[in-house]
Order: sequence, then C-alpha cells, then structure tokens
Amino acid sequence: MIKIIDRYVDKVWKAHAVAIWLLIISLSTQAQEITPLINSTLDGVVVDLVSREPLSEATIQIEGVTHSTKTDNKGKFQFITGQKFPYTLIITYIGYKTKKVVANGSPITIELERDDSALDEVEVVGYTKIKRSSLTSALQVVKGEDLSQAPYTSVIEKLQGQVPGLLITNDSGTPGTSVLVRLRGTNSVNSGNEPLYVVDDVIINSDNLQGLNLGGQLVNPLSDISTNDIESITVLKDANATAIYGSRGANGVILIKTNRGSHQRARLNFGIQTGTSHTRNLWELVTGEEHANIVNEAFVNNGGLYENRPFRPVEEATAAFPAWGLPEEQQTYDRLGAIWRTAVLQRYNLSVSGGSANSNFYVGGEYLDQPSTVKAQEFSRYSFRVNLDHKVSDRLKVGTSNNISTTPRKLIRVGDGGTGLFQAALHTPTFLPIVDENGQYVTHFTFDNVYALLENTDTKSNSIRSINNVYAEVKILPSLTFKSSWSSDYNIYKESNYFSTKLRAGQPAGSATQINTERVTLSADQLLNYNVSSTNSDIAIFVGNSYQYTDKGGQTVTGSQFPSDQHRQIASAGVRSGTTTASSNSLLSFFGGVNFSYKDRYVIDGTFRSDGSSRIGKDHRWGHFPAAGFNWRVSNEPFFPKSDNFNELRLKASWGLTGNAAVDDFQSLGLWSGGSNYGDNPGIVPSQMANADLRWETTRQWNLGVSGVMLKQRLDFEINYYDKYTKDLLLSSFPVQDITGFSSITYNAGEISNKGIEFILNSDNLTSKTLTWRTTYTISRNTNKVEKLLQPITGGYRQFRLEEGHPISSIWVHKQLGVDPQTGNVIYEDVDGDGQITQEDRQLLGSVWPDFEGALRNTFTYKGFDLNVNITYRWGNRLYNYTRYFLESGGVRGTERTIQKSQLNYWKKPGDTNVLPRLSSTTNPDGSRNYEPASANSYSSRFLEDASFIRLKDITLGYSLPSRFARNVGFAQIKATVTAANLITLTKYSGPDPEANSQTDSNLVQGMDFNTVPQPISFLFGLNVTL
Amino acid sequence: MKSHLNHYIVLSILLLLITSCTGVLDLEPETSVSDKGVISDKKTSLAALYGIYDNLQSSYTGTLTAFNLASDNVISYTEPTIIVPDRNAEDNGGAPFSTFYVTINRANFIIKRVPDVVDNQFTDAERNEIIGEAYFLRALAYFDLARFYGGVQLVTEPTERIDTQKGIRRSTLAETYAQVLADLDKAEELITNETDRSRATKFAVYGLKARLFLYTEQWEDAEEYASKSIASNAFSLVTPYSSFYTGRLSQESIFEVVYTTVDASTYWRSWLSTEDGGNQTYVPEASLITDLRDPEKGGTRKAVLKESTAQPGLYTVQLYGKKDGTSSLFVLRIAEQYLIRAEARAKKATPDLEGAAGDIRAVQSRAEVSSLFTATPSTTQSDVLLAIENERRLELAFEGHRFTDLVRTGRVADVLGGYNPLLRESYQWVFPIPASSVEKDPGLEQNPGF
Repeated sequence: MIKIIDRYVDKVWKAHAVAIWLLIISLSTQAQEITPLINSTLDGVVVDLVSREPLSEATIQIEGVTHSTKTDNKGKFQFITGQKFPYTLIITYIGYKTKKVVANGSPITIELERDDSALDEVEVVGYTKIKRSSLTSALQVVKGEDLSQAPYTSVIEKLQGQVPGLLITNDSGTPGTSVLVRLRGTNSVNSGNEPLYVVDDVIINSDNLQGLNLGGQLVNPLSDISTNDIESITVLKDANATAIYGSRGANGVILIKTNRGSHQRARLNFGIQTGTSHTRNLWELVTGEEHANIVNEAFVNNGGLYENRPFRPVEEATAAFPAWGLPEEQQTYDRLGAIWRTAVLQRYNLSVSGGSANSNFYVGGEYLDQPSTVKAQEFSRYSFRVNLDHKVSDRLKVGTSNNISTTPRKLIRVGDGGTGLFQAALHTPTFLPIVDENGQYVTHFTFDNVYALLENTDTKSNSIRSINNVYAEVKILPSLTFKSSWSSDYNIYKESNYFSTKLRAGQPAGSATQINTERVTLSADQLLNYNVSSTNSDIAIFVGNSYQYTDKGGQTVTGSQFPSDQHRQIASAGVRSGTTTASSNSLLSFFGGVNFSYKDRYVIDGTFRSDGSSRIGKDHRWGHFPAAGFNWRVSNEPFFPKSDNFNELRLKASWGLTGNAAVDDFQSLGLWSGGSNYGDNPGIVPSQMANADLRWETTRQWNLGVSGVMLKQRLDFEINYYDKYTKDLLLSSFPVQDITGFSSITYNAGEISNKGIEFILNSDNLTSKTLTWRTTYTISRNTNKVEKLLQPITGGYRQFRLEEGHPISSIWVHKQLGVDPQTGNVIYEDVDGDGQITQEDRQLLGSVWPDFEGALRNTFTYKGFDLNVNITYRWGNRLYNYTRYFLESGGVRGTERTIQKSQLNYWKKPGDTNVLPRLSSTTNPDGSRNYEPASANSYSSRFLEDASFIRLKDITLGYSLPSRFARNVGFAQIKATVTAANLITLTKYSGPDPEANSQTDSNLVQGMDFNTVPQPISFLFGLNVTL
Repeated sequence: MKSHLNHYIVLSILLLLITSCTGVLDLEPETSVSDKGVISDKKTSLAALYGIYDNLQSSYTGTLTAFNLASDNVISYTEPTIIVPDRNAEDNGGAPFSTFYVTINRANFIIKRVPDVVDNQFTDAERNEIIGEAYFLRALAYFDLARFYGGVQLVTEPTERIDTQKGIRRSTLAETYAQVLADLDKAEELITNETDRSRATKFAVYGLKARLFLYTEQWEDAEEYASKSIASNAFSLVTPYSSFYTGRLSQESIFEVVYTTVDASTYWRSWLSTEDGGNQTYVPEASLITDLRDPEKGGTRKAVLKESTAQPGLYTVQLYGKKDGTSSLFVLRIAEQYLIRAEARAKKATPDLEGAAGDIRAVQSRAEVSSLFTATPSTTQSDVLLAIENERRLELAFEGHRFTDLVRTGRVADVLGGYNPLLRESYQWVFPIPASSVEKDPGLEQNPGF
C-alpha cells in the first residue's frame, strides 16, 4: 500500500516538479555555487551581547563578495572560502544592529547588540513576518509588560487607551462581563462588530454562549484567557493587514501571542496580587417625606382629588385609593447600601519557561478570584497553559500551544428587568419599610426585597474552555517553508439558576433553569512561504488555504413546582420541560500574497483571499478580498539629509477589501421550526423568511500613514488617516412589514462610512542611567455615518435609531429647550412647526461615539523603582441616562419607583427657572408631557448627557530589589508593585460612571445607562519573584 | 523515507488547494426544516394548525390586556388616576398588531397548502377540519384587528418571499368585516368538530358570527346565530358562576384558549396580588368593584374578586388566577351568546323586548342576582339596551368587550368621556397603529388624528 502511495506521490511530484522548480528558480536570485578554492576555514558563533544567548539564522556575509552563510540553531557557522585572512564580515540579524567585524583567524565569537529603535523588530502580519520598517500597514504592538496592572479579567480591557483607534468601553464594573470594542468605528449593525481575536494562530470565538437573561449583562468570553501569559498583542488596523483574514478581518484583528520560553536556562516565575475594590459616587435618593410630597403634588396635578392623594392618613383609605400615611409620617430606608461590599481580589500565577538549543517551552498556571463590588457576583478563573516548540531537525519544527481554563461565576440580574437587583435596591421607594412588624421581608410592586434577593439568589455559570493548536513547519528549501497548523477552540458554557419561593420569580413553588451550551471550532491552515533576498531586494510570497468548521448546540431544561427550597435540582421539580438548539457553519478560504522590497526604501505588497461561507446565500457564497500596500522609507533616500534631528521618515499607503458574514447560521433559508405547541400537541410554524439574495457585507478601506523618528531617536510618532466604506450592510434583524407575518429578516440593507485619524507619540524625555522618563500620548478621532439605509430602524425602548446621515446607535429624542416659567410645562422644539409635539419632532441628538479619545501614559524609572501613570480621556460621547429617566419622573410613578434627590428642583410657581418641569404626566396643550408614566414612550433630551471624561485609569509603582540582594536570597529577580485603579474621574455625567453601557446585546442600542454597576476603585499589591 | 517528505508535503498542499468546495459549505440546519414541502402529510398539517393556536395564546393575551385597560373596567395599579387612558402614535396602549398577521400568515399557509397534501391516510373530513379551523382563526384575527384599528390590510396569501405582500394598502372597515364573514362562511362549511372546545368548533363559528353581526348591526342574523349555541344541549350556564374559570372546558365554554403545566401561561402574575405571588399589574376599577360586590347587581360574580389581606381595599381578579399557569383565555362562552341575542332582539326591526329581558334574566339568574331585570309595558328599548350594557360590563368584565361595546353602541363619549375628555373625540375610538409598524410599511396608513 505504502509503495503504491509512494509511486503515486512520485508521479504527482514529477508532474509538478518542473513547474515548481521553474517558479522557484525564476524567482531565485541566489547564484549557483561553484566549488571554490579553499584558502581559509573560519568557525564562529554569534551571540547576543547582553544575554550571551546564541543567535540562530543570523546572516554572515564577507564584504565585497556574494558568499554568505547563516548560523545554525547553536549560533554557529562555518566559512570555507577562497578568501585569505583578514577579511571583513557583515553580520545581519533581524532585531539587532548590523555589525562589521574583521576576521583575523578562527574561531571567532561575534556579539550582536539589540536594536532598540524597534524599527527592525519583526511583526507578524497575517501569515508573514515583516520588519517594522517595511510595514505598509497600520498596526500596533503592545508588549505584555506594558499591559495595565489594573484588575481587569481580560486582555482587551488592559489595552484601553494604548492603541489609537481602538475604542474600549467597560460596559459595567462587574468583573468578567462584556466590553464594547470597536476598532476604527462601527462597520456593521450586526453583533459581528468585534475585532477578530487570534491567540497563538488560533482564531478564537469571541461571541458569548450565555443563555440566561441577566438584564442586559453579558459575560465576556475573552475572560477565559489568562492575562498573565501574554508576551505581546498586535492590533492590525487597516485593510491591507487584515484582508488576509478575509471575511473575518473587517473589524480589525487582534493577535495575541503568549509566552513560549527561549533558549536559555529554565526560569520559574511566581506572582501574587491581592487588593481591594470598592464603589463610590452612587445615586442620591430622596427621603420618605420628600417622596410623599412629590407624589401628592403630581397626583393632584394629574387631576386626582386632593382627598384621594396617596399620602394621607391611613384611616382614609378606600378601595380605589389606598392611603400611605401623611408625608411627615414617612420613614426613610436605605436599600442601596445593602448591595455593595469591599471586594477582595486574589491572583496567583506560577510559570516555568526555558529551553535548550532545540526546544523551548512555557508552562503556566493561574488562579484568580475576583468578587464584584456588588454582592452575589463573583468571578474566578483557573487557567493552565502549555506551549512547546521543538526543532526535530534543521528542516522540521513542530510545536503546540494549549490553554485550558475554567471560569466559574456567580451572577445576579442587574440592569433591566423587574426581578433584578437594582430594581430591588435602587428603584424601590425609600419610604417603604424593608421588613414588616413580624420581621418578614416586604416586597413591593414587581420588585423583590433586596435582602431576600441577596440571600436567595442562586445563579451560576461556568465556562470551560480549551484552546489548542499543533503545527509543523518544514523547510523544503532554504527559502521555501511549509507550515501546517491545526487548531480547536472548545467551549462548554454551563449555567443554572434557582429562584426560591422567597423570590418573585420563584412563585409559586420555585423555578429553575439549567442551560448547557457547547461549541467547538475546528480549523486547519496550510501555508507555503517563499522568501528570497538579494543585495537590493527581498521577495516574500505565500499561498495557503484554511478551513474552519463550527458546531454549536445546547440544551435548556426548566423546572417548576419544587417540593421545597432545599430541592434545587430540576430532577426534583414537579413540572419539567426541556428544549435543544443546534447550529453549524463552515468557512473555506484560499489566499496568497506577495511582499517585495527594494533597497530598504520601497516596499510593495499585495494579498488576495477568497472565502466561501455556509452562512451566505448559495448564489453569493464566495467573497473575494484583495488588498495592496506601499511603504516608502524616505529617510533611506540619498537626498534625505542625514541628521540626528530627523532619523527616520516613512510614508505608507494601503487599500483593501474585507468582508463580514457574522450573521447567525442559515439566515438565507426559508425555515419552519417546531416547539410551538398547543395543549401539549406539537406545533410547527414558519420561523424564517427566505432571503436567497443574502450576500457578503464588504468594507473598503484606505489608509495613509506617516511615521518618523526624531531627536536622536528619542521621539517617534505615527499618524494614520483612514477611510472605510461598508456596502451591503448586513442587518440581522432588518424589520419587515408586519403583514408578512414575520418581524424581521437578515438583509443587506445599507451602507456605512467610517473616517478617522490616529496619532501616537512616544517620547524618551529622560534617558540617563539612573533616571528615565518616557511619555506615550495617543489621540484618535472617528466619524461614523450611515450613508444609506432602506428605512430608519429604532431600537431599545425606541430611544435609539439608525437613520441615514447619522452615526449608528444615535439617540432619538425630543430636544428640550427649557421649561416654561409661567406654566412649568416642558418646551420641546417643534421641528415641523405644526404647533403639536409628535413623533415627527424627535431628533437624533448624539451618540455614544466620542469626537475624539486617547490616553497619556508616563513611565518613570529611578534605580530599582518604576512608576506608571495612565490617563485615558474621551470627548463628545453621549449617554442616555435611562436610570435618571426613571428616578427623575416627577412623582408620576407614584409609589412604584423611588425618586432621585435632583428631582426636588422642580417648577413650583410662575417665574421659576432652571428647574425640572411641573409635576404632571397629563398631555399638555401642545401634545407634550412633562414626565412619562410607565406606559408611554416619549423621551426628552434632558436625559441625554455629555459623558466626556478624563480618568486616571491606573498608577503602578514598582520596586525591583537590586539583583545582588535578590541573588543573595536565591532569586534572579524580586519585584513588588502597588497599583491604584480608577482613582479619579473628571466628568460632567450625572450617573455613577461615564463608561456605562447596559443594553449590550444590540448594536442599535449602545450608550444606554440603565442600572449599570460602576467600575470600582481598586488598590492592589503585587509581588513577583523569578528564580 | 526522508527524501519523500517533501513529496508528501507538496502533495498535501496541492490536494488542499484542489479540494473542491462542494459539500463543506452546504450545511443544513438541524433544528428547523426548509420551507419547501414542510406541510407534507396529515401529521404535519395538524402540527401547522397547532402552530396557529400557539400564536393565539400570546395574541389573545395581548388583545385582552389592551381592551381591558382601554375601558373603565380595568386600570393599571401604578397609575390609579388614569381610569381611561388616551393614546398617541408612540403609545398605542399596548395594542397588538403584528401578532395578528403572524396568525394570518400561518393560517394562509394551511389554506393554500393543505388542499394539495397527498396522503392517503388523510380523510377529506380531517383535511376540511384543519382548513376550516384555519379559516376560523383567520376570521378571529381580522375581527379583532377591525375592533382595534378599523379597516386593515387584508392578506390572504402566505408569505413565501420578501416581496409577496408588497403594496397592500388598508381596506375599509366594511371590507374587513366582509373578509371575516367570508372566512366564517368557509369555516362553517368545513368544520365538523362539535366537541373539542379548546379548538374551533362549529359552535365557535356560530358564536363568532353572532358577535360579528352585532358589530355589523345585522340583528336578525345575530339572533339566529346566537340561538344555535343556546339551543344546543352541549352548552349551559354553569353554576356557580366561578366554576367556568376554576374548572376547564366547562359546559359554559364555546371556545377557550388552553394551557397546560408544561405549556403554561404567566398571565396570572399580571392579575394576582403581590401577596399571592403576582404583580397586581392590572386591577379592577372602583365602580366595577362596587357593582360586582352588590348582591343586586353582581351576585355570585363577586367571586371573581379577592380582597388583599395585607392591603385592605385592594381587590384583584381571579379569572386568570391559576398559579400553575393553566388558566384558559375565554374567547366565546354561552353567557355572551345570551346577551348577544338579547341585544339583537331589542334592536331588530320588530323589537322583542320581552325576549331580550328573558335572556338578560337567564344570565342574571345564574349569577344569583337578587333583583332580576323584567320588562314591563313601560319598559323602553333604551332601558333594555342600558340593562344589556350593564349586564355585559359585569358578566364579561375582564374578557375584553367593554371598550368596543361602548364604541359600537355609540355610548363611548358619554360613558368614558367623563373620565378622560379626550375620549369624546372620535379619533380616540380606535387605536393608533404602532408607530414602529407604520414606519416599516409604506402601505400602512396611520389612523387619522394620531
């Protein structure tokens, strides 16, 4: 059998060999070697100047001749040459300064110095490695050690402010919950707006598997990955860099590289971090008496009779109009304070890394326990990582990356929903007692009692995740390598809750839900890389293919009618039911690219990728994504003046197309589903309207960039301008006419543009031996606009709107001009001038997207000390303060909801100015309403707030013990750090946190603040020892 | 062997590059099936019919809530000052709209496809039954749409593509009622079921026709169709009054939407008091409470109310009060047929006030009302009509009739205008179509005034 295969292979090989060889030879500029006359033999080794580590793959060339060689994996090389000693060697190695050495005899040891100008650092861009100076694309690298020390559970949060153009917003202050991430604006209305995350060559899933409704609070799947093992993060921004990810790259790509160890003796690293978090700057509520007076006044203003007012002597109660007692009899009870705590964080991590000449490894583990400042919410993570690389021979390298983690969480419903914690703690009126005279918890309206909720909530989840990759890299020829990479991302998300009979959701006899969701993504990538260099030019060519298959399924079981609250398993439930889900998708891709550089001055590259997705309609299944870029290293031109004040100047330009098919599976098909039962008889219903015309969403992007290094390499900067235009906008819930019997369809319904500019500046202000001071400043601006849309679409509770000519997620409200000093009625702008305030008068008055944002980072080192100060800022971003909409409702919600202190400043008599409107919810003569009762949907711009802020994100002070002391006690390094996070926030926003975002599951609705847990203030101590 | 390594590698690359894309991208969904051929036999035809009833569970809940709140029978607990709300385009009083078309589309699929199903196990009677019930459910949907909004867009073809229903505009109220009647005629012709009250029966068709004829003021027809159920010994006014909702599918019932413990409703939460685990979202209005508790007016119907122990004076409604979620929604029951006939008899060309009074008394006697309505020679037609109006308010208090009863009898301005002057304006007598629905359909015109 093997012989037959062998023979077949031989045949195929012979058939193709000629063509392949022709290709390789025609591209090769390497001269054929002629057996030389031997005049000298030189043995040598190339090492790092500082670490003395041998450097493999360094190029050694004899000056004046073409003869060159490369070091082996022990850093050794040998020259057998016709040249006689002495002669000059030129040693080049990426990431190091080029060195000239005169060889006087054998053997020789050559030390290379690292090039810290960083221009020659190698960046991984898609499927190739490119010197930074040759980049045609906009990208940025953040090293693991530069990540924030603030207690964020995911890598992405630790990047906030570091990468211009990358907008990162913590949706809430609960650890392990979702983060809003947008790179260069929002392209799409789908959930598919997140950048693509690639961890050690594995494209990972970043959409979460959560099935339980937690009032808009979502867990963050990126929290499954430890933040400790990170070596570096590369953010690919423009289309030329991301196009090679084709349909996955439209929203940018974030490449995460974890530690892999190096060819050196094993190092053991142990870290511990502990600290506390607390919350401040919460809502200020009225007293019981203030509440009563406001409600009484609103009642009468609304046409109620004074003798029926809600707060009057209890004995006057009637069937229709209950009486709560006189205002002055009301007590004030605090519930809000009950839900907060000082949360204690602990993190332990242990890793061992090292290697030998042929192998390197990294083994790491982490335990993190991070309770939320909100009681009843906890996040913890156990994570393990094993990375191995081994050189089997000079030609074959194999390796593996593995991450296994489990992240148990305790959760509670916050945000929206009657049974949520904030309804109980914040929205319940302060005049209502918490316990009755018998000591029983009192519940009110549709809200739970806050203590009952804290004591009885039993909602848990656990994400079990395994991300694995194996690869083999074969050097077929010195310049031709083949890499085969096989990956899987396996995730089980288990959730359960039990609502006891003490909770409203547990009526009448307990209620429980358990959801297990499982998703596996398998992918295989094959890549052929060809590199060839001559004195003046380098060419890199690659072709490859990739196949990815994702299967997702789950089971939900629910139970009710439990025998008692002690029996919480659904097995004990009197009534049980279950349902299942199943879905799959696949993506097949072919791609290739060329990178050509000439004289270290000009670089041109181009890539092309074709993707076929099972999600797209049959007739439009394949999408084609080309990209090209150009880089001109002006400073290497002969005409560029050599000066210490301007060391380096580069210009670059790129263009490319990327795609997006991040819609749910099977959206192009007309479908019927079961489960719509009646009287326990199975029912089937049409569940999805067919859209055979469903096609790829495509984004075209231009990028123009300038970067330079100045003032003796102490200042470097980069500016990028980009212009993105997205066509065939995929709307996963495009509304269709009601008469179709369907509510929505997945449809290509519009066009969106994003234009922006990004700037980063690094400055080494001080570089003395003992004292250094480095400043990094970033600023970026993005303008988002819906260019075309078949029809406006409203979202949320109809205060968010997608409309042509405005940014996505714009807030759609009545513009409040003021309050009439005579009547106390609200004055809205009458846009159509018909004298009536109707829906036609609503306007789009802002969005969550900032006009500009950025960060300022200062790093000081003095002897063993280092100090990091990070400030982030954002300007022009708006929030719809929906919490205030409820809490400043003018008493018209009666005894149902609490009232915020700021409500006290309302119109009381003619002549009052700078006040909230008169307390009433009846229709004014012009059709407006001063305040809204629960049933109406008309919104005022007075709840639309400027949420610009400047935030002292974190300060970290570190001290490393001098190495001689450390060695005395047997350690290589000991470092202690103290971190303070979120110490100061300057903002005009009236809510607790200007970074709030509570409806996290829809792109139509970003920037709504409803009962958001604010980000806590944290103080942390860390200790890190290396053996 | 090592020398072959290159060959293997190159081969594998070539194979991967050549790998045809057929197959790997053609995935089929597992939890749903394709639209084509989904209704293929008797079993799937029946399943598609149950799919309509499934939607009726939610759409009828929404219908009841919106109509109840629109009248002076039910108020929102949190807004005690608003007895009768007015509506604007943005706040349409929570009235359902799109869900009716979900029902209609599901019915249209059956009406179009079931006649063509080839299945030799499928008898004509079974086939007709399914199609007939689909007609009935479509009629009910159009009838309630008309009650809410007046004339609406009439759709009689299933939506198979996005452009199937393009360009359909609203019809007049008369055309909409004509569609209801046409569907009911079809249903009457096809349905043979007389016993399963959880589904449309022949009597459900008669009952809905009788109700339709009240709205179209065809009094003789209304009397004739109401009499069909009254005359049948399958139906009776059960005693005590409460037994029709504490039990299930009683003799009282002509058609009720049912739930089971597995397929449960959460409607009880909206009605029961917080001490009973509910949310007391909707509570009865004060004067209704007074009348229901008055032995001369409400009689045993006061059982539908329960007074809170924690909050004396607070009454909640027990009609949908089964906490396991199995309370039915009562679409048609025999008491209403008596009152329909009473009204038809009082209004027909040659009024039969005696007969009308007899029907009113039948309903009152079952409720053990202490003072029964009698017609004396001095009794006028308007006395009888007022008695019917009051009787309907009490007998059918929470079943969504009150608002449109007042609208169709022209009494709405007099009765509800006192609570909210805007209700004197005729544009408020129908609901505004939800703004979001108007927004996405250029053919859908908003009702005037909104």
